[in-house]
Amino acid sequence: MITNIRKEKNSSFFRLNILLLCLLVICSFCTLIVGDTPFELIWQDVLLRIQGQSPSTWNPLLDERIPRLIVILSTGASLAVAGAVMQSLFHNPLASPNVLGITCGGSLIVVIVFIMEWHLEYPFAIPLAAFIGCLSTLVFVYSFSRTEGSVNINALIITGIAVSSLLLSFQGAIMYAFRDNWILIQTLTEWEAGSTVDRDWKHVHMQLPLTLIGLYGCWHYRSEIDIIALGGEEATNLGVEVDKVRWRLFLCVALLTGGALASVGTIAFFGLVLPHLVRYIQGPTNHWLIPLCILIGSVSFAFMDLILRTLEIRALSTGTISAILGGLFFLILMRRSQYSYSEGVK
Amino acid sequence: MLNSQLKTLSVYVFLIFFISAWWTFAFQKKVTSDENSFSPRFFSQSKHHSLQIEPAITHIDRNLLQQALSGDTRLMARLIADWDIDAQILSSNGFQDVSRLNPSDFLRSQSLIRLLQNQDYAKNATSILKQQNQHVVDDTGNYLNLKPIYKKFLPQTYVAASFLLSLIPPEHIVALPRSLRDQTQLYPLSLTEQIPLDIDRYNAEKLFQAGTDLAFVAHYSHPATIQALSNQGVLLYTMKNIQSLEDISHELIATGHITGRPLQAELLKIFIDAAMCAMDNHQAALVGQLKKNHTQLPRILVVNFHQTFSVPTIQTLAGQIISRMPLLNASLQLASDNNQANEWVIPLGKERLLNMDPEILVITTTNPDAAAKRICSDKSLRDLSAVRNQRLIFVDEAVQQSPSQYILLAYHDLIQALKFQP
Repeated sequence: MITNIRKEKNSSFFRLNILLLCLLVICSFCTLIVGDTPFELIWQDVLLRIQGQSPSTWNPLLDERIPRLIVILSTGASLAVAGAVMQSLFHNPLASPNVLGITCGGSLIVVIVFIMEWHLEYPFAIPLAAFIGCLSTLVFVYSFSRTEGSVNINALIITGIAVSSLLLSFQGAIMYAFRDNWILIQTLTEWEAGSTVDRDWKHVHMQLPLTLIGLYGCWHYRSEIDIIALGGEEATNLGVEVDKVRWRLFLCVALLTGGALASVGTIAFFGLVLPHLVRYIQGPTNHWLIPLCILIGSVSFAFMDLILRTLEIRALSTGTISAILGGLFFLILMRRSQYSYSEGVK
Repeated sequence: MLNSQLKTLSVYVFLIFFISAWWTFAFQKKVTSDENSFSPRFFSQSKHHSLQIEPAITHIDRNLLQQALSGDTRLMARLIADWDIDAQILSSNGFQDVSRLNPSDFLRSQSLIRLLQNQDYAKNATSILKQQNQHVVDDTGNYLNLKPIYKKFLPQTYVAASFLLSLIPPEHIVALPRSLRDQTQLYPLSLTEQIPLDIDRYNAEKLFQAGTDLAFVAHYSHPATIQALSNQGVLLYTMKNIQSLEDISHELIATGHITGRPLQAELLKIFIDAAMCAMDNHQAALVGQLKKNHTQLPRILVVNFHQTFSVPTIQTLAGQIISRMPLLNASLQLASDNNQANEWVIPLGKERLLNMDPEILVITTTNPDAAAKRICSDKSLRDLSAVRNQRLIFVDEAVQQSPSQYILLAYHDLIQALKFQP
């Protein structure tokens, strides 16, 4: 009986994976195809470049669409995985880079980099600042809410929200002080809106090393995440070095969030909603949650970008559309869970 | 234990090395010969050679144009007369569609300057006009009685400040919008420093003490500031949102009546019309010259540049100026392809820009050095004909986006930019 259930689950999981892979291929293909230049022309130039005969040093496919696709896939995967890991680590469905203030921490330091114009001379200053901001905020929130060796989950969320508000107010104060420098304000607004316009290899280089390490780390510790989710004491009894694993996962989350923040900007709700969706489909175990989050995150982000690009909706950025859809989805999810809870009480 | 610590340390060292190596390799300075030899053309003040057009007509001097726009009435009258003669010369030389002030406006401008030169005549004419116009209506429909004499004005917007600085002495202006002082290329420090106060919510008491009679505000003004002024008993005049040259003329005339300078305002309005005609004619002469030289018209595109490129639409004054310029063929084509009626700018991706491949790229920016550096270091943009052939022309963003009479300087700058030969 148990074997049958497991087989059925494996088979449905396999089908889901295939479906997601197909969607990923379709979205990626469309991202590479859709653009102002006819694809035949681009392809001819690619062939010429391979032969070393291309008159041009820039090709829309090689130099814009492919790097943009890499940035999109990396960002979607990073945020979804970061959210999933945090929700498991803190045993709380509300834990996500946004809710715990990690994004705000990274964002504040990046704003300072923009103001000092360090990014013009050193482009890696943005991902470095984002990583440092994310990590320091995460460590602060975690340490602040930890009492007598254990973390009170409610305290963690409240601390996260408080730190988030504090950092946002610092950022608001800085922006207010520079309100007359409207070019800076415009630059920051564009960055904060979470845009994928004109993403090139520079953004790939800014993000990809952080994303690769972050994703590998989360994948590597997927079993430990499952065990830690049972509780710190149980995990220690089962031989997991809880503090070490937790610290490394913090680093991974900071790398993932920082990388995404640096190359695309602020993308709200992604890290909160997608892990819920994946758990709803697949169940709570992290063994497959992380690869599924990578797939679903990449597909959803690529799909949103494709829709905005194809319909030429210029008033919205990927960040804003993600926040709108994510917020609505989360409200629906909350409503449904309240409904089933009240039915259960009856 | 030691082994485990060493192993952990080596993992961290490896990861730090991995990221550092990646970034070092990716972001190392690649100084190419292209970059070394690249010297984009800067254009913000007229310090460059230009294509000679129709030697018989007068060159429009940017400094004189600016001086007239800032309220020099004698100069206005002289330039109006010169440009009218230019128009006649162009017509007699066989140019088609020559723009010219209508005769009544021309005569009015000359009679206005004669009136203004005699104080008694000017007073009489002003009082006659005051009897004819006993009130003005602002953009919210409120009537403003013109019988009282208003002496102290608070321009809460750039456009109002710009008009007031041209029409009345600085001692009648209570305060200025703070950032307007930074635009020294339009408003010299010697003038703005005579008005010590800034319009700021924290200055409410000082503004009250200064005895403001009337404040010029707009629909986009900060509601709390409007409320504070209203609470202090300051009369409010809500200006139109400036979206066209007609709006500028309309509000200029209203400001003239309110400040008791209707004649100066009328002359400035006529001057704006005359300057537009003169620059239209210069552009026509330039096209004629290019055709005469059998030069094929280059593809010219005007773009804004911050983080990304964008093109102003017809919704903006800059877009309307561009729409008057047939030479800006690439910009016009882009505008007609993107009929974004409600948007102020059309974002322009690099791919699209490269497909358009303009031969001359006019870049609107406040910081030409930074913009040039960014564009030069962008490998993808090196394929642009304009970049390859060093035909990047930088124009001042503060001028191009000025919602006031100084928009004429934007038109002038674009025409001067077009005089570069590809």
